[in-house]
Amino acid sequence: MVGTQTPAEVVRAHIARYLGPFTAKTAVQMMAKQKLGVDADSVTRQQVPALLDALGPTLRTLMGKGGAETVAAEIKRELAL
Amino acid sequence: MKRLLLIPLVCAAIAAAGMLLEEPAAAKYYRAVLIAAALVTAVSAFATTRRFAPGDRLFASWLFVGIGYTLSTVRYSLRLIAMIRGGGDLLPRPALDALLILQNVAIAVALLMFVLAWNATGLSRHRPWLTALGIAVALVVGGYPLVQGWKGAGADTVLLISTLGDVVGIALIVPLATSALALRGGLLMHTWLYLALCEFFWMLYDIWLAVRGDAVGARASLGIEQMIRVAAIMFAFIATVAQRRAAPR
Repeated sequence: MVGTQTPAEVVRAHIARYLGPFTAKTAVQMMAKQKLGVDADSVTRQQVPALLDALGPTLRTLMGKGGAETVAAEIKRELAL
Repeated sequence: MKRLLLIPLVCAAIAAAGMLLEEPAAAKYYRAVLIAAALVTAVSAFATTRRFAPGDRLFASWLFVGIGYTLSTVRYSLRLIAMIRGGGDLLPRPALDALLILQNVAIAVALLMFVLAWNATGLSRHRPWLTALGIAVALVVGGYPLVQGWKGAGADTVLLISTLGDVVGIALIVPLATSALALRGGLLMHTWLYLALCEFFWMLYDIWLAVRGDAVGARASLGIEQMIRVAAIMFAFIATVAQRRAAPR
């Protein structure tokens, strides 16, 4: 699965389960631009932890600290980070 | 998750059974159903609060929902006990009024905190016309009792504050619904949608009280009133459940 998906797509797919596909896409694009200065699809695997840090406050607000950490851990596991 | 929607409908049907009873049994039955609805909602809201850390934004939101419905449970219970015992209320009028005011404030603050939390994510699209529409509807629906309360504020401060709470809640239907729309396709959509439906049903309740007149008999009128009330409370209940189910573990 990871082999055919960009890192941003993996992040989007995981958070879309909770935020829905539209908001997940918006959130990943917005944070990639704001915090990393790149388009979401240009985010490298190494930049994913920084992207997850940027998404953290949003996820914490909607899911709580525990929920946000679980989602981030799942994404990192899938990307072998 | 969609099956949760059946709960308010089933509970409204349970409340409707009160129309088969004669007074005063009907009044006691409606009160008992309300107590059960408010109690399970309060307990469930506190259970959902525990899924968040005290620093999380939604911790306080769910806590206030729990406090609001706990106060409802206490008020409804005191009323039922007074009905069963006969005679006057168990607490002095100012104390009962204070409970009602605190309950309204707690729920209004909780809903406002939900909307502010969504805005804090930075994902909300500001649509001023939608916000204006929500406020306009709230003022139209709550306007009449609000003006009445204002005119006699000295005599009925409780009505004034209670209606103000309703106006705040109704005005927040639109922001809650637009949050749900943004989250469509995700598990969290259900929480926001059910909160919006809860406030929508409280709006229906206010509308029903204003328009019911003599359109239906007194027994049916009271039955419909109680059905809407119970459905509104149970939408809050399923919102608490939806939030817990959405959270990854």
